[in-house]
Amino acid sequence: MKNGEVTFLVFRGEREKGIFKEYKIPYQEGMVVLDGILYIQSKLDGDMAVRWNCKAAKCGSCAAEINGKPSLMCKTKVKDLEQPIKVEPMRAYPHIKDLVSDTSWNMKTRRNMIQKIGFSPKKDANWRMKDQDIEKGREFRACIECGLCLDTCHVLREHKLFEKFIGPAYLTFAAYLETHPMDSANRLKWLKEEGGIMYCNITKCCTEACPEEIHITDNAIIPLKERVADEFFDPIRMIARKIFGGKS
Amino acid sequence: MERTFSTSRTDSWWVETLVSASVFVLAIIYSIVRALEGKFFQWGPYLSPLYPFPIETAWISPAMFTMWVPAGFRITCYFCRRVYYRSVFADPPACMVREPKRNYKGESAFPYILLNLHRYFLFFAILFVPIHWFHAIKSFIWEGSFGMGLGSILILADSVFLTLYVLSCHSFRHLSGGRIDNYSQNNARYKIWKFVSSLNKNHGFFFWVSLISVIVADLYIRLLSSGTINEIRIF
Repeated sequence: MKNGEVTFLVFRGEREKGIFKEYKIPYQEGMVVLDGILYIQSKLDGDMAVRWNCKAAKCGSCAAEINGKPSLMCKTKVKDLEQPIKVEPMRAYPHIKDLVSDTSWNMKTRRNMIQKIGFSPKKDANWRMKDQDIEKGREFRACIECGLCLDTCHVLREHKLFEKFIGPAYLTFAAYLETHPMDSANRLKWLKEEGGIMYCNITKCCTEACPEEIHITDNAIIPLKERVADEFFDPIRMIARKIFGGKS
Repeated sequence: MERTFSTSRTDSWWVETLVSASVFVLAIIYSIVRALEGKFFQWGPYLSPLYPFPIETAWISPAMFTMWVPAGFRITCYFCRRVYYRSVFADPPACMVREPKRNYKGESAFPYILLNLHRYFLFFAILFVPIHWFHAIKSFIWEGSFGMGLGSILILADSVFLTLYVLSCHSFRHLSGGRIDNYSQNNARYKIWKFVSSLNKNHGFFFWVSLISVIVADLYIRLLSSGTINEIRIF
């Protein structure tokens, strides 16, 4: 921190016409990036668009790219960053203005999943579950749907396959439903055909980005891929199912 | 239009990509060259881990009979896929780094869809583990009595790391109990799954150390066998 000042380079404007604008602001002990952005908004540039809410890393609203890494602005400490601190919106999504992206695809995807492959309780389900039964689901439920894993996922970010692939956050949601001990639905066909799970090539960027430290790839995506492989890519199982019928 | 490999990242993202690519490609080249060489794989009680079945044939290297198992297991391994997608195919080169333009289909189409056969390679890899241990124990028997050289340690280390690599495999985790949702009714499977899951956290580490240890052990035996170096006998 030079002379107690921090330098921010903040993306301003709209995608094609946008530019990085430099701001120098006073540093305060314990400052996070969101503090700096809100200082700029209140003292220097009142028309800067930024989305935020809880400031406690629980709502996911302030997701952005900080020095090129997907991060929550409220959780990223200024003293840990190289300067100038470059702050830009999540680039996988359509851009609206300044630091705000249009993340409505997230809600649409979740709604679609609930309609098509939502929770379907077993008949006569015993709702008094033991700890080990909810162990897997507990991790997946920590997802705050900030969209950082979706932003960093190259299938969406680079290849723009939003119509074919539901992305890591919603594969985590699918893993929650699929591994629920009281659930009876089979989502594997949907995951393969509509969810596009096979588009994931397991490069683990989503796991690296997750602010809730969910092991998305190892605990959600790969176990789902293995279940899909059981059903569709395991010739011995497929033959066994043909001969003996039912699940093998 | 942003260029390939452009990024806003300010860290040295290319270091991991470059190191992984170098080690991975060198390991492949070394293994192919050694498998084709067909000699210098045995010295005293030592047998190279690249040659678990030293069958004498005049027309083909004995490594060629078995090489497809470790090669297939590694190429289809979930961690290994991350390594070569990033480091070799730049798909992506690193997180948040622009990749070359391509018609991306991920693992939904041929040939990558075949990677789902990982579970079959796992079965063969499991069969190979006791064979590696057999050779590791044999490397401590010098003319009928217990002895130890540097080679014994290297072969033992290779067996330990190979075992950990196989047991921490994602497909093995699935097989051990990953497909069960109701663990309270399958306590034994739950305990096995928990154990495999604890190993699985370090699967990437076991991938690298087992890859390096097999090459180090083979190289040492090759140098001994060709008379380039002398054995370091501990007792």
